[in-house]
Amino acid sequence: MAATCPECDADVPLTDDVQEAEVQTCPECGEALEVASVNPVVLALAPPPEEDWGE
Amino acid sequence: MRIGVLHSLIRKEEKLLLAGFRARSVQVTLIDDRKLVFDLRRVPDVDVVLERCINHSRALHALRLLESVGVRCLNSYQVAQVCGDKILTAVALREHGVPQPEARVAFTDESALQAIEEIGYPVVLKPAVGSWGRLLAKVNDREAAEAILEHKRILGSYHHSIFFVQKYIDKPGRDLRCFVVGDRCIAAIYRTSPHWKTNTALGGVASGAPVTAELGDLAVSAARAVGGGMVGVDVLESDDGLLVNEVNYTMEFSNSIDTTGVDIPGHIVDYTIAQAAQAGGRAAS
Repeated sequence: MAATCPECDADVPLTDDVQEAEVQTCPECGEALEVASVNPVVLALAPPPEEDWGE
Repeated sequence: MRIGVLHSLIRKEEKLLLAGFRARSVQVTLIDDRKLVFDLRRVPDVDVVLERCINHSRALHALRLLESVGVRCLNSYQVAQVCGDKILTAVALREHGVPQPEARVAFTDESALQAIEEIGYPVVLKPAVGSWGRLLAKVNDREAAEAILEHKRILGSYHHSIFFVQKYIDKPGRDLRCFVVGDRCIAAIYRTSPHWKTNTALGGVASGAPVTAELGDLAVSAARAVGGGMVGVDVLESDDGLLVNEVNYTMEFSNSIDTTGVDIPGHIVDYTIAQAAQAGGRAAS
């Protein structure tokens, strides 16, 4: 399974258990992506880090 | 048993946790904090929520809201509140007699400079709230201190004028991250870096570390001091022995499974299931 990178149009390979909100990385441009929907799989740019992000 | 997982982005850690629940045939309800609309009067259909938010402020409020309607949260609001604020963490550690680097708190440039010079250079200046090593400054001399304090006051929000000053610990090119689940330190890693900041988010390299009795006891003591649960305890090796630097309440662990040989997400999942069984039993009785 694969979906298209919204940044560079490259194919981003996905596993069968892909799920909404999952983070992916485009193998071509390295952009951080988020799975916006799974049926069909649509990728969006992941939100940029915010000041209170962390563990 | 009704388990919810409160999340935002699903990272490697959350994916591993969800796989762990699946492997144990436990269904979970995913709650995306970006889509959550919380009705203060309504009790969600879960007994326990495992918190995995990436935003501290969202986690803090969501946990308080969930606990207000009787949902048991892992970690609790109290743990998130204490761990999410380095000053509150330092207070909790002191109250429980857990060793930590010498520290001061100040609220103005002038008093912060006084605090820094009371400790002596170098010191580490930290925002009270923050993670992944961001906005930490190692301050080596008075000129640097004056410049950083002025920049923080003028360019930062009011949060950045709450000055937390720690003695710089000259560690041996590494620190330790201990993983505590419940009453046990299940694993530990060294985080090695040529930089004084050893966060793996900044390129620190993880390798397995033995959980000695001393290290395990210290990590569990720190976890208890902040309220218990599942936490990542950062420990510094100093000339005065082991010191607890910080405690993290939504611990990241994806680079620590192969390096330690410990199924960290499995431990978190099992602990969550056990807590949910208890909470479900209480709700049913």
